[in-house]
Amino acid sequence: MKNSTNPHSHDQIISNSLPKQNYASFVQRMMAYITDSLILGLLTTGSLAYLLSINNQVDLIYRSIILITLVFIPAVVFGIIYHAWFLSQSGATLGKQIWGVEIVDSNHQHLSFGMAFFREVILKQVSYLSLGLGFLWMIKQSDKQTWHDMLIGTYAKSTNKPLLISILWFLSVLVVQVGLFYYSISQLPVFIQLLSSFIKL
Amino acid sequence: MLEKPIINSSSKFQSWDITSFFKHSVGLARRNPKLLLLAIAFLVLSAGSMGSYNTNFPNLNQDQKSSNQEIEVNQNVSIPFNVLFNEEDLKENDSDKLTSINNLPDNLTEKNILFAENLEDIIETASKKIPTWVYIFFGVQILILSLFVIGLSLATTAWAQAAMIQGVRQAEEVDNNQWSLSQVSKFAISKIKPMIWMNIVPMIKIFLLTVGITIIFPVSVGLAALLFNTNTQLISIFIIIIAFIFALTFAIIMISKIIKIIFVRTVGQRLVVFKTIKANEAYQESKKIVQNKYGKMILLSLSHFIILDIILTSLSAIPIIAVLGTFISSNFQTYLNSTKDQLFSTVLNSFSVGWVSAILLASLITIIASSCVKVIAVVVKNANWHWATLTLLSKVDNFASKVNNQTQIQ
Repeated sequence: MKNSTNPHSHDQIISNSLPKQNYASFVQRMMAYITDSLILGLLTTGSLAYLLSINNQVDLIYRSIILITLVFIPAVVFGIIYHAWFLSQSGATLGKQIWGVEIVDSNHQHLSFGMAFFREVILKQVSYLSLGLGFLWMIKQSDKQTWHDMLIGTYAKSTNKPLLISILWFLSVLVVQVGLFYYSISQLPVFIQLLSSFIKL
Repeated sequence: MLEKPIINSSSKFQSWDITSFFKHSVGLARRNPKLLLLAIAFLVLSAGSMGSYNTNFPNLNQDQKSSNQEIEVNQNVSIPFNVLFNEEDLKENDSDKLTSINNLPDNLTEKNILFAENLEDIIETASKKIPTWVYIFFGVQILILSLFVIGLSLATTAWAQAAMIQGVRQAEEVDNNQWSLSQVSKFAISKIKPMIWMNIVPMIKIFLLTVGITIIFPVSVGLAALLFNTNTQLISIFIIIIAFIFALTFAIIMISKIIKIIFVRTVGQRLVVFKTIKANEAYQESKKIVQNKYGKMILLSLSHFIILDIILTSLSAIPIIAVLGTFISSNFQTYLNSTKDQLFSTVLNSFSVGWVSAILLASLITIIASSCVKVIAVVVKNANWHWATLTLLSKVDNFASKVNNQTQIQ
């Protein structure tokens, strides 16, 4: 049995077939990443607001347990599924949709759920844990592939979404996130007072 | 059962020549930069797995070393506190302060008890408010999440190992970076299951053997002392010595078995990737192939350790060693001239902005260099084991073909 791969593989075929301007730029992908982080962060900031708006110390313990059990652990699972499910369904997470980025394989097809999971959960770790070098790598590549793209053979296509719409969507998400964060911060003095009275005793 | 599907162009490695292995591996790494990306993926994803297949025995002690260092550091940390609270150094007019320091633990204990009691009350009240199903749900979540994480880390490690092996194989067959990373990666996905087997089963065997080695000494010597408890002291000592020698022999046999298992696994992992056979079959085949080749394999492991881990890693540390050496040599005379009390402040004063920047820069260069060395070392080690496996296989296959020819003649 010989499992040699074709040297003129699909990777090269697509890199020749897609015009250069059709690849999503570094800025587009970075903004998509930030937007996704803001969307997923809504859950965390909301939880923080709920945790900080306590009336007494018993409430703090009660809310902490409830949040860990019903929000934080499911949020981890949700975060994993969010990326893989959206990539397999539409080729883009909400953040990527906002910034007009679409992930396709060498046949211009969306990834299966399994492959999307593999890309998002496992291969992205290679780009993250190499101090982000795997992401920065795309800047000098003509086909704008990051390390995890290279490892699975995916390409980030630009769907040429109007920039103004992208910015408006981004600002909407940002406003909600900042609003929640501001509310959490406003609850902080009461929270600190409760904690300090408990510690001083 | 020995198939012959693997070797085609690779039959250039008919003899076990470590120098030739290294030359070819370095050449392969230079011509195929994609291998470096696979090595990074391997380092990132399989960190913490059992020595992987870059078998280096001396590395087995690293964890122990680091834990010992940690203990040393912790012990050193306590020294300044001993100096700070040395009662002899306190002057007589500081008796009030001394009394307050002596009373401090009592006050602290009272406060701590009060705090703990209050915390206990709060937790008790809060836990009464939480419905039972939340606890059950929490337990189930933790269990599922733990299983998921364990499964994922096993699969990830297996994929990284299979991808690295297949990457080297592709680089050897196609060469000049003209092979597809994504196809190697997809191929490696299909090998996750047997690779997990290859990681778990040998590890269990090694664990059991290690447990055996750990308990054999106290058990054998203790049993000997207990069973042959004679009045004559000389005979007792003699029996204990015999038991000790027996335990030592047993331990040596067990250690050699562990080494054999590691090598069988190293070759077995490659067979799993090269052939379409089950992990168990690959392991058994690997056992046959590796037989009587342990000496050569130990030599290859040692050469990896000396060349890649000691020499290259030391070379990557040259910038920081050079800067620190220059720093110490330029300030050494000042340190010698200062009194014992002034020494600490003199050392601190010698750290100018320039020196601190130079040290930080050198540290950064060293970190980058050592990371690069690690990546290159992974490629070279894997390529070397690739050539080694091919050499072993070519010998077995030549032998098998000779046997077949003889059978046909007869």
